[in-house]
Amino acid sequence: MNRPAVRATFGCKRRTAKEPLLDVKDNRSNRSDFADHELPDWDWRSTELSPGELEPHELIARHQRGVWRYLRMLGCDEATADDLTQETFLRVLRRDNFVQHNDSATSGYLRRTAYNLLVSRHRKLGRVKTVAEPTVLDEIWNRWAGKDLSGDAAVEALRLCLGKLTPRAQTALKMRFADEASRIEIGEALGITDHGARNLMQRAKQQLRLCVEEQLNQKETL
Amino acid sequence: MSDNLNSAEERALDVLLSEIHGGNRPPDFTREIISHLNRQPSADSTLVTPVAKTSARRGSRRDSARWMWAPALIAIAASLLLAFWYGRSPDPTIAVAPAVAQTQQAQIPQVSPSTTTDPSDNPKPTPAASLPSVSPEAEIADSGPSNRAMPEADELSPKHDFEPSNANSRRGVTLAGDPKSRVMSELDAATNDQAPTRRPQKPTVSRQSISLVSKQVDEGLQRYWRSIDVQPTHAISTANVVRRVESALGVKVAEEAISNVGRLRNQLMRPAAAESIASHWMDSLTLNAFRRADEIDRKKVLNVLAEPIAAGKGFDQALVALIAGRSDSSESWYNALGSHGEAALRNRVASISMNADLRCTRCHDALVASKGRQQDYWSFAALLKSMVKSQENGRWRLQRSGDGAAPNPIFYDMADGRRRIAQPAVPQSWLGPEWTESPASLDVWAEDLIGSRPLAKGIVNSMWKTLFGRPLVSPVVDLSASPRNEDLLRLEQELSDDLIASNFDVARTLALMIQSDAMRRSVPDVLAPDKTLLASRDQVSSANKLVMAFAAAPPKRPNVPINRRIAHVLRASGSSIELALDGGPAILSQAGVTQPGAKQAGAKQGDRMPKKQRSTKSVLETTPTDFPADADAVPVQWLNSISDADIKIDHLAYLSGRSRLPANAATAVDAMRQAETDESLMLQRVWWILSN
Repeated sequence: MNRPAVRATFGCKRRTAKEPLLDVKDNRSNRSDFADHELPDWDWRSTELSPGELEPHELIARHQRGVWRYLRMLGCDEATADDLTQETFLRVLRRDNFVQHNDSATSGYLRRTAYNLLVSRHRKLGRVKTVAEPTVLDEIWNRWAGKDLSGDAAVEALRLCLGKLTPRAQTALKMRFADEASRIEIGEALGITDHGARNLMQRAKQQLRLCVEEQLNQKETL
Repeated sequence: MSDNLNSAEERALDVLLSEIHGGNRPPDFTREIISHLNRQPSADSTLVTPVAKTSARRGSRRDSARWMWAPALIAIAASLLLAFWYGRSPDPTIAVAPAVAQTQQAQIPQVSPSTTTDPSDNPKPTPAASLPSVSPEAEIADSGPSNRAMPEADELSPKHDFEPSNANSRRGVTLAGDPKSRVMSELDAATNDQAPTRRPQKPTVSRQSISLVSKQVDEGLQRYWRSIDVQPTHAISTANVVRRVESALGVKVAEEAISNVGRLRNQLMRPAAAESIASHWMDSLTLNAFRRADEIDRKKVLNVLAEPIAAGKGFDQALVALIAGRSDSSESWYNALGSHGEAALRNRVASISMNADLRCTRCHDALVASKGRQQDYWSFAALLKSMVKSQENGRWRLQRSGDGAAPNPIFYDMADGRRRIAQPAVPQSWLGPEWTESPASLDVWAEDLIGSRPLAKGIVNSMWKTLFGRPLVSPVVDLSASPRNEDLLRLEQELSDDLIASNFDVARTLALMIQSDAMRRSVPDVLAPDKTLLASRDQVSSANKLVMAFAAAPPKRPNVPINRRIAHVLRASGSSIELALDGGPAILSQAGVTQPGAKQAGAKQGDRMPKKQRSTKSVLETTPTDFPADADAVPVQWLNSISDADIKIDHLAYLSGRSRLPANAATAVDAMRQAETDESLMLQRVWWILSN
């Protein structure tokens, strides 16, 4: 059987990762896909861990930052990311058929759980939200933030790369993300138009992306 | 690979950038999740499954699910039957909604202890059952009205203690070798092992000569003014600087000391000067409430604060001892600081200790500045609440950490009406990048604060405010914030670094500020009382820009108490005509003209006029020069994002450091409404009332 190990292990049979979920309201027919009431709860007191498997608190500590960042990349605000991160771990840890093959598989499964919970949440709140297709985001995640499964390495690399930008670009990004300044305000501070501010930030982000990927690749080859 | 970013890549990058710049880092949920896992699985399932499935238990979920719809179907059928009976067209939404609501309510008891009717079903509300933070369904089920202007927090009683170590003992069963106990003990051990290594390193800054730093401060100010393209006003005489210092700090320094920063510092370190500085600093922190505080409280606080000023070191330790409840005078400190209520107390503590602005985040995540999250606010509130309790007599009681009470989480109302829980902690994002985790106890926080950069910045900005009326770097939501750029932030950094390097020698910092070019600036000509009415709007705007950037001194504001300000507004609105006819303030007054013999701003308390003369004065009383006669904009632009005028006014009250609009100010608002005053002008006048 050539199905991905993660899917086979956790028995998420009904929906494949390839199914796009662009408009959650249009997918109401899939409503029961992620209802896990059919899955038996995991009595974790009676569960014995296999060698190499992480204790629940170790598993949480290992993966929670990655799940939280992934949810943020899916467009969650911080409060929602907080909620869904906790809910994701509760879901997964309560399953009696949850097996930890390796960190990467666990990380992928947690991300998929988080994604489905987000879609469910949008449905329940009756919101029409565009949610990126998981395969697209997974590709970015793996290339970008998933090198160490938590995103910590990407954050560190980005911090390093920020120092290589020009002072003006640094100021623009700092104003944007630290002070939530508008493009007009940034433009005023730097003596350029708001379009200029947008272009400056866009170019800075492109440089950052290349720099971060370079940093991560270097780290990987070392 | 294309050099262009696609939208998903950009979003990923934005998230990481907001984490680095905005401090929005992923929190640690290990304890919360493990705590939930420790609860009974069936109870927990209410938190993670939709409300419609909450009664489904293991082994009989399908049956339960089938039966749980029965009442709803019966209700629908009954509704249709009734509708048919009465010959009306049935409205399914009306008929179904209550039925479904009842059905859901019947299934909620595991979620909400308050709805449990049979105690045997749920003898004790479990922490999991009352933790809405992980469950949107529970939050929705718990939600109250969504338009609560000022959310209040409910402190959880000790039986709701979330500490995992108490989880087993609460049930009275602790099994040796129980995996839960094992995991929790491992978790505790891991946390304890890691705690010492995770503390931030104290900044190490080398001490420079005070003259050199003074020069750097002046260079920094000049650089700042150049960068925002303002030309500072001409310098005032040394005698005038001395008068300004006396007015701001209550300390008369020698004129010769003004040109010698070392000598100036020595003069500020004299015991009487140190006490006066401490007193004026406290007044500045408390909207002048400190001067009306209980005399014993005043003396106790001043003793603690004046000592390190006079000693030229250790202001951080004295301040942290007061904040953390380690000083015998801590209770007096909190009584002085809490004069305007609990919210003001929290704001002031956070402002001094971490340079954090909490005014917005009591009710919602900060929309203008990025660092404020409502969750963080209430986490901090929970931590403070564990130490400082308000009493019925309006005073504050200190519960020192030695009393054995562990901090309890509290519930708070979110802006959308949901309720959420906040674990006691000091948010790491308020402290800075050196912190990798949020201090969860007062002791840890206090240790971290001593010698830290956030504390130094808080002190620098509050000292600057004492001298200049505004912090050096104001929060961006403020009406009178200086234009913020890298140069201004660098100046703040230089001053706070010097404070750290000098072992928190506050007299030195004040001497540097007094010696700076900002203190020598004159008032722009166009803002002089006799010229401002003749100046064009552009001229006034340019002059105000100078004042905002500390490149000019603000005109001396008439010292008009709030009641008199309200009277002026009532008179301008035509509501106090009776008062005027009855010998009250005149209706027709000439703005900007001071009557001969009228009491001048800053006149001493004892300089009261004879009764007869006062009566004449009240009739002839003039409108203060800064009274807003017209307005073409609201006081601060972000108010335009609020639609309701009442809420705008409330926000002005919050901005002024109050928890609510004073009752007598509300009378003035009503009068302006009746007079159909333009909204912008009304808001300007409300701000004028509140900003005394």
